[in-house]
Amino acid sequence: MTKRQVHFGAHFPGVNATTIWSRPESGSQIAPESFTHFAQTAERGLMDLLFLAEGLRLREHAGQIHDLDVVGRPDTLVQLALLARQTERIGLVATLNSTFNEPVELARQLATLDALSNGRAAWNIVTSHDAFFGANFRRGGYLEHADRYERARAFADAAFKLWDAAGTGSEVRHVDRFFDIAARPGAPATPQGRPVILQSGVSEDGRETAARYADAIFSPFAAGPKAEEFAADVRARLVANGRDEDALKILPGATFVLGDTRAEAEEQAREDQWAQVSPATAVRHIESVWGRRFDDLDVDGPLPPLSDVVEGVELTAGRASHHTDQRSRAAELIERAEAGGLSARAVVVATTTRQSPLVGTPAEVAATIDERVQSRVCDGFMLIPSITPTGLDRFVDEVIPELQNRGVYRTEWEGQTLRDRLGSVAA
Amino acid sequence: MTTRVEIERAHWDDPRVVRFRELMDAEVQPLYADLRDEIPRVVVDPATILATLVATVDGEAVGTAALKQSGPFVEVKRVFVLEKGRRLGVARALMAAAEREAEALGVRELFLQTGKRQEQAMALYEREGWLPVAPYGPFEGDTTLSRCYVKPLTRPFVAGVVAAETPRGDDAVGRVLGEIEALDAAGADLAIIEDDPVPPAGSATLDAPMVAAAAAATTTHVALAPRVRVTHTEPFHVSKGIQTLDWAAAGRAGWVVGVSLTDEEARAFGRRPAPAEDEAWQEAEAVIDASRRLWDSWEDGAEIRDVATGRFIDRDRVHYVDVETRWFSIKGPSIVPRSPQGQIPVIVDVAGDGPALAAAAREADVVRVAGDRPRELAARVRAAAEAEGRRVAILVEVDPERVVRAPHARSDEEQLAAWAAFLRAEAGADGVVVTGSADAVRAIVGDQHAAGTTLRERLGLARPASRYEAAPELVSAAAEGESR
Repeated sequence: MTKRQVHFGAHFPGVNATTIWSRPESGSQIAPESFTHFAQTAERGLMDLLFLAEGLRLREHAGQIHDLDVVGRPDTLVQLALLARQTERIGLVATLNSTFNEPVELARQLATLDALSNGRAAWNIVTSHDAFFGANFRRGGYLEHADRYERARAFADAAFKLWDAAGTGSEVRHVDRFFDIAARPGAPATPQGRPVILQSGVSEDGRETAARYADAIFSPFAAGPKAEEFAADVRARLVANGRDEDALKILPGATFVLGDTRAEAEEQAREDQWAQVSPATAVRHIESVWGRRFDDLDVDGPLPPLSDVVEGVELTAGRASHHTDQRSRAAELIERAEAGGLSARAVVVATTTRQSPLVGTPAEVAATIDERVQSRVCDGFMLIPSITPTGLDRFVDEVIPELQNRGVYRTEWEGQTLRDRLGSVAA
Repeated sequence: MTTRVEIERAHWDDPRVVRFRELMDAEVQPLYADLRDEIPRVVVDPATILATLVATVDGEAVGTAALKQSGPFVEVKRVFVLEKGRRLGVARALMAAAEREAEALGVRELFLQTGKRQEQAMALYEREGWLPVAPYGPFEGDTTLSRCYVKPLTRPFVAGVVAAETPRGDDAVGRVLGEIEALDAAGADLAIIEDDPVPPAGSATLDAPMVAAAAAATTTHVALAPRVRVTHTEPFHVSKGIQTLDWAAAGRAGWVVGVSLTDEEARAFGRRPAPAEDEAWQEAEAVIDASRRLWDSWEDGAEIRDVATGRFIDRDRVHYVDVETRWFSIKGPSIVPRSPQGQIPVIVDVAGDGPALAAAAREADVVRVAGDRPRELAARVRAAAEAEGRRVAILVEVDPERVVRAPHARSDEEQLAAWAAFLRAEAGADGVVVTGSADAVRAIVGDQHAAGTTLRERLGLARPASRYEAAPELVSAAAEGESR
């Protein structure tokens, strides 16, 4: 039987709590050279996708700009347009919001990316309803939470019509609850026609949108029963939507740590986690759970008592995750600290950093990836290195050859477009 | 024994100079005796004389030349050398000294007029790098007798234009990138990358800021200014796109601001009806202002990477912009750190009096003035900017299809360069926009790249500090105020 093939995306390590900026080798998160190095390294590793996340506003904590993590990033489309001419084969994923864009404009921009890259454009459709982000846009916080995916689907339908009309240039009419558009497509017909579609939401609505439109889904579940449940659920939804079970690539986001021995890798993973949670970051996290400031908290000592929790206070803004039940979350942290004899910082490290399945020697990591893909938990990973821009180098140099030796990874580029490459299942 | 030619400054009324002028008239006038009635008598107003030079050989005065302001043109006038001073290089030395004087006065191109029967003089000028040009200023229209020349003293700022539309079905990427690369090779300072989000049927267009970023990968010199219409787009997206282009192109970014006035574009976006021109430009002005604030919202050096305190940025140096207008509001800050140029040059097209002129006067760094003879319009733009307490750089258009040729023209390329110099001088402009191909740019700058890597540098603009950088004395004054 033919082995299932592994696919990779490479997530640029910029604005992200996993990016370590405090080491000497930590490079610029904004210099174009960082993006060039990272993209060309991923391409050298024959990876399917280069992934850029979206920025609509700087994160805040307690009403002030969050200053502890890497911040500052380029406009996704303009940066990818540059990379389109600095790379030749890797797919270029633009994470772009359907809430704060207009279909006629975004459709032409994505077509421009497809044209400039000769068929390598991908759109990661994300949604937002948040007035926090809306404060930077004409419409403000106009969209009801319940409507965000409905608008996303309407947006995608309108964009699809525009892409499909590019050959003739004839006028497209699209009218629904959200849009009233009469437009000729501006951009020319491009190699892929429609860009490859990615989805990152794992809510009910997000999964359904993915099952209907997407070519790949970027999930947060890298391991464990949640990952398996997620994969099974997505496959069921694909079939329900009349699509092939393999029509959607499942790519969980994952950090990774490589070492010459497993022990060395595990030690490095621990060091990375402590570097990701500086004392100041630990205080910030505790403040966001407790709903109040702790200006003099010693994070090498114990957590504050449960009685200090101020409920109903959202200190953090501009981040995907937030705490819905502060008191139970605080109780959970305290219990964990007491059980393990952990300091305040140690418990934040233990509970907030990513626990990656991809820690070990290159051969071990390759074996783990192979096993996950063959057991259909996923189709590969969206790799999230912790060092900019060289964090992917060793993976490409040492893990990719192991996977190639196992016969589960391409040894040369096949297909003309990104969609051709993502679709290939057999070796 | 060698002779020493020296040049000294003199007064227009210096008796030696007066005598040389009389001798010159006596020598030249007989050449045109048959045309005496057709030659207008020119009385020189001494106030228009910028400099008068006298050449001496071994201490004896043998020749003269002068610089004269004639409207917008600066001319070399009254070049004369005594018989005994000829063949000693005196004329050449006088011309060179006149050029130096003009350069010191900030003159960018120097003109002169001679008569068609002074063949020796014409030969000298042509040997010395002067270009035949159509009769200018006082001599305009006189192609019978006047033979005029121009000499660019500085390399002009030259922009080329890349059209937006490609016939649907043709290779749009290959065409636009090819044209930008050709402009780069030809020595253009700037490529204006046109755009039209809703092009005419049968044509296709690409997003101009993305095209510009792609071109940044394969060009090294030319600055890249995409046109972005702001009427239907998000100001926040536009601002960060241009800022990212500045990062991508290492300081070679510009932005040509446009507006959308057609119902067709309004229907394509479906967000609002087409605005009137007045309102569209008022809004565009607000978008430029908001963008400038966003570009400044991160101070230089805001990224500190301070391991001791765990802080990546100094958040006191990253600022909200809090823009509120009748069309949009933006909280800020930008998601993009301050870019290489800090403030990216903003370019506005002005085709006549109207709302674009008012917006340009208040917000543009560079104004592209349209029309055949843009002198008056350039003057109005300058005056309007001055009324706002600002200075704008002016670019005038040069259409290679519409060059007015000199009667003694030698080649098309040279005529284009001379005509560009003429148009620039006539309008007092800072540079030209060539609407033809890269070959037309090459004719003007001869493949020579200008000094300066960023667009601001090439426009002579310093890199400003962020408007949000608090001057130290202001900080202490505010602190003092608080403590009272």
